Amino acid sequence: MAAPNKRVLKEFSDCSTNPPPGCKVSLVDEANFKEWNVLIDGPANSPYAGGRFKVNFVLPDDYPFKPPVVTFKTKIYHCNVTNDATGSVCIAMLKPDAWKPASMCKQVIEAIRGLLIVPNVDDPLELEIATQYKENRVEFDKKAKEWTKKYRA
Amino acid sequence: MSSQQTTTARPQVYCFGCQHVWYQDEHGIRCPACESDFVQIIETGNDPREDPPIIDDDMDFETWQNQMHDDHTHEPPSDAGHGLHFAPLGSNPLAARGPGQPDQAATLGSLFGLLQSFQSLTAPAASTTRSYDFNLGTSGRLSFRTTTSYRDGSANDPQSPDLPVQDINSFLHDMFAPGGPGIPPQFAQANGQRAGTTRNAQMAFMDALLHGPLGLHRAGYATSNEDLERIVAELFEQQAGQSGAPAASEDAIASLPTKPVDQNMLGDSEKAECTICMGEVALGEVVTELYCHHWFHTDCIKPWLEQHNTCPHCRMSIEDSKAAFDKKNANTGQNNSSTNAASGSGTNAPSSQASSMPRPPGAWPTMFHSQQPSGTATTRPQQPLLNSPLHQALRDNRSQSNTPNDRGQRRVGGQRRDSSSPLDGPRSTRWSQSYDEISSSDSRSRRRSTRDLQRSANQEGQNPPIHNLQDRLEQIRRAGGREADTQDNVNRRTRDQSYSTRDYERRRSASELNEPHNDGEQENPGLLQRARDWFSGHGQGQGHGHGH
Repeated sequence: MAAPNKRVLKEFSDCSTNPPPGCKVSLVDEANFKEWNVLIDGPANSPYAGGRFKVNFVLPDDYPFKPPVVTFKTKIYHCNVTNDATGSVCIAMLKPDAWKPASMCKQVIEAIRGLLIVPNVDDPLELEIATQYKENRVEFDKKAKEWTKKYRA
Repeated sequence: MSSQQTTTARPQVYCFGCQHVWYQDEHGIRCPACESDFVQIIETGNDPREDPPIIDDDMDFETWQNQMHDDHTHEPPSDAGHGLHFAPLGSNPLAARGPGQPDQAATLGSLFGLLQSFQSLTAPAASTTRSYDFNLGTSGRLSFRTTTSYRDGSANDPQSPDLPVQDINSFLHDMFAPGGPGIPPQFAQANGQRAGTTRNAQMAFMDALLHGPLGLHRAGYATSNEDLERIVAELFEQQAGQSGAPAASEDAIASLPTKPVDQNMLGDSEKAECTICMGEVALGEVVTELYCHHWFHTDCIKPWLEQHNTCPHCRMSIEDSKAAFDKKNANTGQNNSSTNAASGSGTNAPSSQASSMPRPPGAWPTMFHSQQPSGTATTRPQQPLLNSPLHQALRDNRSQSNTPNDRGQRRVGGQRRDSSSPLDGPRSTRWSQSYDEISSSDSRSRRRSTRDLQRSANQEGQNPPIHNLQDRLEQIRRAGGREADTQDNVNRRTRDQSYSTRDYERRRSASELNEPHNDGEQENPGLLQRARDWFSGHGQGQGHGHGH
């Protein structure tokens, strides 16, 4: 499986030299190309503006046949990110049945950034936050901003 | 207690509701204590009071024991007679509680209803430790354990089957608190009244369901019937479709055509890459081409197909596309004839409808068939990437029933096609052919093509609502026009990405994966589809396999 490893290298070099806007990609451990540190700036048009979120990408050994495992290392008030130590993220394209090898990490990063702008309230991990987003947007924004400030990476 | 001794002489009846046992000839088959008719006649070898099958020697038991030992801080306080005390074991401290959930008592009621069948798991014995183990197929096992003891004969008193409400509430806290991953699903109960045992088992079961190896701790509490439904649907989902499409058969993989990379595949830039390994391919290198005309290194595509039978790029099932491919080959001779037997669905198109674009009668998309001898379809491998977006566009168009088209008509019954529809496989290549024409600078030709498409669609009884076809084509041109006019590699990549992103978004918005061509592949389409339908009503569809 040398070929997919080459792909990991290629993807990393592409993402690190030419990252999506507002993002920064580095390796957690210089010797391990399969664990990425992705810093995502809170998009300007979102309550996360001004924040910076550390997101961990772990590329499985059989990447790209299996999706990368993505977790938020920075606490974030968001209905698609679990509010616990794990920080699991729910992104459609990462689900085992939606993943396809032609998808790339860069797209995942972009998708995460997209989620920061528009959360997917119909498929939440944190039901209450989703409900709040739908029903009391002001309160949601307030809390999201508060957390963004408090936990900035 | 003596009444519980099974005697063979007089048939006894056991009540699942209150565990009362009586002689049938005395009280009949309705429980004299609680009026329940959820009863069973006790027979030798089929005693409902016997333990359910116990599987004891799995890891969970050890873990449980250790944790029991470590967890004495959570042991019930001394007022044990008060009722039940649950100590969630492992990493879920009592502090990790969910917010107050007033509806939960009501929900619990429905849980009980759901779990009636588990009542028999608990039997009236003096002091028991039970472990329950359910094999959930691919999702792993579900195990939990209850320990029961009671102090005196009052335990058999049917008048006191209810749990103290306070205890329910405190239990609910633990039961429904969203927990972290890896919480062992075992629960311990000590010193509880036996009357509560049934509920105890149910709760432990439900908790195992919610927090256990199935990973349902995501939003892991149920505050309404909807939530309950969701949880059940997720169970279906996880059991049946955990990792997406099924594997392709060995035969199917072996029979995939290979071909050397030719100039068409490379395009003008003389460069192309396998989207799996992102490695470049050289002219003449032999690659495997799927029937949807996406090609990959043979070594790259094989491990994927061994897991999933879909194209890594457009996710079309290789079996389906092969069927379409074969069908097309079989039908090649008929396409240009004046019969539409092959299409099976259309009415004859009056010859007056023939426009400047020659079009044979037949099913809707076949209007393009005559543009190009069908044999050449396979020799135009640079086209097929258009296949996917076109496909989707067509499907989307079809599925948008009841929307007025631009002629002010209303279309009904956006028809779902089976996967071997003429849209699939190489025929779509001809779409792309026509698309070439459409996307050329000749806008007249473009208008004509669109009009023709609409007219033929109207004619052919397929009722494809194509009111916004032009938009679609625009979109497709932006999204997928890349292979036809291949430029340098970088550009290709960029476009690939943009396509894929769009593709992703589209899937997400279109109740992801609820695609017709996937349906046939599932082993249990009814169940899955139900769960999926349910999901798509609530969110983005098939989604929550939730591996995380």
